[in-house]
Amino acid sequence: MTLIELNDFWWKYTSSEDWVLRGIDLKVNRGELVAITGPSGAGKTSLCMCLNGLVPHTFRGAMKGSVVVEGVDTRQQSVSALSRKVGMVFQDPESQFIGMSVEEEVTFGPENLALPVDEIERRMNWALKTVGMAGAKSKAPHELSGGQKQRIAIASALVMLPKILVLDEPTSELDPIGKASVFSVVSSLRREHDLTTILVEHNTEEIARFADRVILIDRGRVEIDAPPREFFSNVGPLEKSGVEIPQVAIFGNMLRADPLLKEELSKEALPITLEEAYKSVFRLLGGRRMHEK
Amino acid sequence: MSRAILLQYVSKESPIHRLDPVTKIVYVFSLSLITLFIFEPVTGLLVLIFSVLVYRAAKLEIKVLRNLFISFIPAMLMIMFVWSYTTAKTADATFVWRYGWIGLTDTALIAGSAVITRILSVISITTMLLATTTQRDIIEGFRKLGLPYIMCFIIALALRTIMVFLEDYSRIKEAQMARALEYERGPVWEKLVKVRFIVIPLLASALNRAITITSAVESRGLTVGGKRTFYHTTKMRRFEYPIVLGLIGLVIFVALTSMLFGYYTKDWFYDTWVPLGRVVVGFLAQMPR
Amino acid sequence: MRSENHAPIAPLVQARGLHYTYPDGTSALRGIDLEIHRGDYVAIIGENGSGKTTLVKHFNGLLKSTEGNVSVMGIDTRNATIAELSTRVGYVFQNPDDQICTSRVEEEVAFGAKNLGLPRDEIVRRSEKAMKETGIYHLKDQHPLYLGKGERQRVAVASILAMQPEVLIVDEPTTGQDRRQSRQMMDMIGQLYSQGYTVIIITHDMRLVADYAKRVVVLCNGKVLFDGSPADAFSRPETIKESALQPPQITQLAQMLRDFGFPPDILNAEQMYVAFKGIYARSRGI
Repeated sequence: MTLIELNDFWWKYTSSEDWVLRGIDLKVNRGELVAITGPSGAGKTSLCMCLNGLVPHTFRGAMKGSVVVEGVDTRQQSVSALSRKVGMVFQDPESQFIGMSVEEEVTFGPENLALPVDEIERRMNWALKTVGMAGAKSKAPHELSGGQKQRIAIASALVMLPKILVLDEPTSELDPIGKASVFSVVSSLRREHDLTTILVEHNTEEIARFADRVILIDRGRVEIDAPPREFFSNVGPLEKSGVEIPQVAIFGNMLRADPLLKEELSKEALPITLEEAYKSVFRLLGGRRMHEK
Repeated sequence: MSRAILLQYVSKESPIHRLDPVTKIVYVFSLSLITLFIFEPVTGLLVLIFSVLVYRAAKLEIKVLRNLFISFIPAMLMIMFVWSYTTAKTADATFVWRYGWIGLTDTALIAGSAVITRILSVISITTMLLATTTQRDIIEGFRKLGLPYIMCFIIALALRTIMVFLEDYSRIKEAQMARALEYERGPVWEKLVKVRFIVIPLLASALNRAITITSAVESRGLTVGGKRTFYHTTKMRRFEYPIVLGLIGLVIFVALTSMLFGYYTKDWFYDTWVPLGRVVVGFLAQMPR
Repeated sequence: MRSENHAPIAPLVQARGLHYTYPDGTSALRGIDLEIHRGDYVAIIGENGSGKTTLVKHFNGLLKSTEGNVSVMGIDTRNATIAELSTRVGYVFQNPDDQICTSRVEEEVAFGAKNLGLPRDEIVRRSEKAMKETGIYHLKDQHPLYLGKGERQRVAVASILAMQPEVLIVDEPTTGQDRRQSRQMMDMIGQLYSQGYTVIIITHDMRLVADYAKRVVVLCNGKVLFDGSPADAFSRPETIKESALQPPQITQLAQMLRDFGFPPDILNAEQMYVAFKGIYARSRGI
């Protein structure tokens, strides 16, 4: 079931000189985790904002084509209405945190929806538990690390019970521990809940691990739209756009280019994660399968 | 540092802490309004003593207040002397004490000391409010009293953002100092001129944050004037209603007696307190040693 | 190429028994002994809260030790102003937008030199040199805020270079950037290094540490946990565990395959490939 559909979508802000998004055709189905990557300034953030209505309602400009979310054109839905369908997590953990405590932060959304107090309480507890921050209700923002703040941001989006979650570079500003905690939440959301996720990321190693599809956006256009393994085989275009493929895939490509191994590996898929690379090398070196990882 | 303590919530168990913020806000406003009608020190002192008693009932430390009080008095004394000097030639000037061209007129003394009590009262009341009520509750109190939600939201957001700005300020200052901007030593006026090198990036940062904040807030469904519920809210207890009404009544009483009968002025002081004082002193003088 | 100097030289930056406690009582640095020599390229890594930025802020006087001392080219930092130290140790902050305060790139680059009170022609000369070193000379009349992120970062670096320090500290040069910008930034720093600057970077990106740094200092809880080559840093399990670091993906792969004979200190795909070839050949008896 198609939840998001962009049809030949063009967008430019009133302040832009030129089109920021050019002829985007995109379909996202229910339950998919779609990763979006590409160089800075390619239009990824604009693309995210057109999914929850910030574009065109809050950030104005000109558009062509359409964006359809859950069957309704976004031009016909207010940002407030779309906030129930599409949750959004931004890059900066600090600016995004608008309340003085976690409780305030997470209940803000449901309050805006005029939900009854006991429903708000239920949702808040569920959302905090889902992101692993169950005991943090009374904490103030300065008591939280970047990773914790971003998890609260995810909780604040989840609490609206959207079907779609959009995360725009959620880990860019975080240290490795923070990054890991956010990825772990995103990955568990995918496994355990029926959430359709759009994740804008530069970290291709993580993308390789759990994306269903990866999209390369460069200069406002969709250059590649493919499942991860196929995506990372496009060495030329990826290099041109400055996207680094996972080290294990680089290694895998080197092996496949080697005359001695070319034959043997021609039938085997390119490893794009650590686990796959381990298994591949293990097999090549004739290791006995002592345990399946 | 002690100035910062003044404005911060101090968590304690006291009857005042447990009061609804609406009650406390009404208390602050009514007592402050009352002080506006007071021009003589005895009533002023009564109000001051009352507000300090309430302050103490909130289990707050007197030390903080006392330091503030002490720092005010020299300034007020100066004002009284200057006032006396400038009114020396007028017909009203009755000098209580004189030494050459320095002296204190009775008007200056009475009105000046009244002003001291008024200022100190307002300080006690406001400090007490800020120390016994969390930011969130204060804003909620104003909302209950009729402040539109969007204003409450803006105030809360501003307070949150100020904290972020302070961090931004400190970071920007360090970045500029690393570029040899001399900000540690030197005269104050030089620093004032140089502060633009910190303010400009701060403004740029503020604008960027504004965009993120707007996006975040709208993405969570905020609309102006729309219906909303409040997860965290306070409730006034039954006995607080009469307190609020009583305070409002007190304001009306003071305002009327002041405007209609001229209470709480210098003349009233002479007419009311001085005779009363004489009686009390006479009574005390009669007592056996 | 760097010339080898066999006589013992005084370090450019030296920390001895450095302790730092914040005004609120938290102890950030607990006894650091560290020397930075001319020609070093050091990456300082560690968890958030391990003291990386706190340590490095002592090198240009932004922070003064609460115990122990830090000396920069022989001068105790407690006896010098930040402005004075900035001519020896340049500190490039993470976010270039935190310092842009003029309307022309050339002015922005000259800002530091101007604050030092240098004569006008000297300022111009230094600014031009700095802009050429960072590849932004062609942007000199543009408004800094209208440049792209990568370009703004170069302006920030240039404005520090114009003060002609010997040591360049770059705090998180690549956080928040795409891979290409990160590479460009690291390449530029690498170029400055080969031109003679002593470089200290603070970073979380282990792949970049593996690709560029010559020396790694791992901080943990305010102490130096490890000080040595990147290869050594990533191949010691205790160091990794205690500091919660994650080595680059390819290093992890090599370590997972250690039973097959892969060395634990592999830093990139090429090394892995070479190692693999050798092991593969041996396993086939070639």
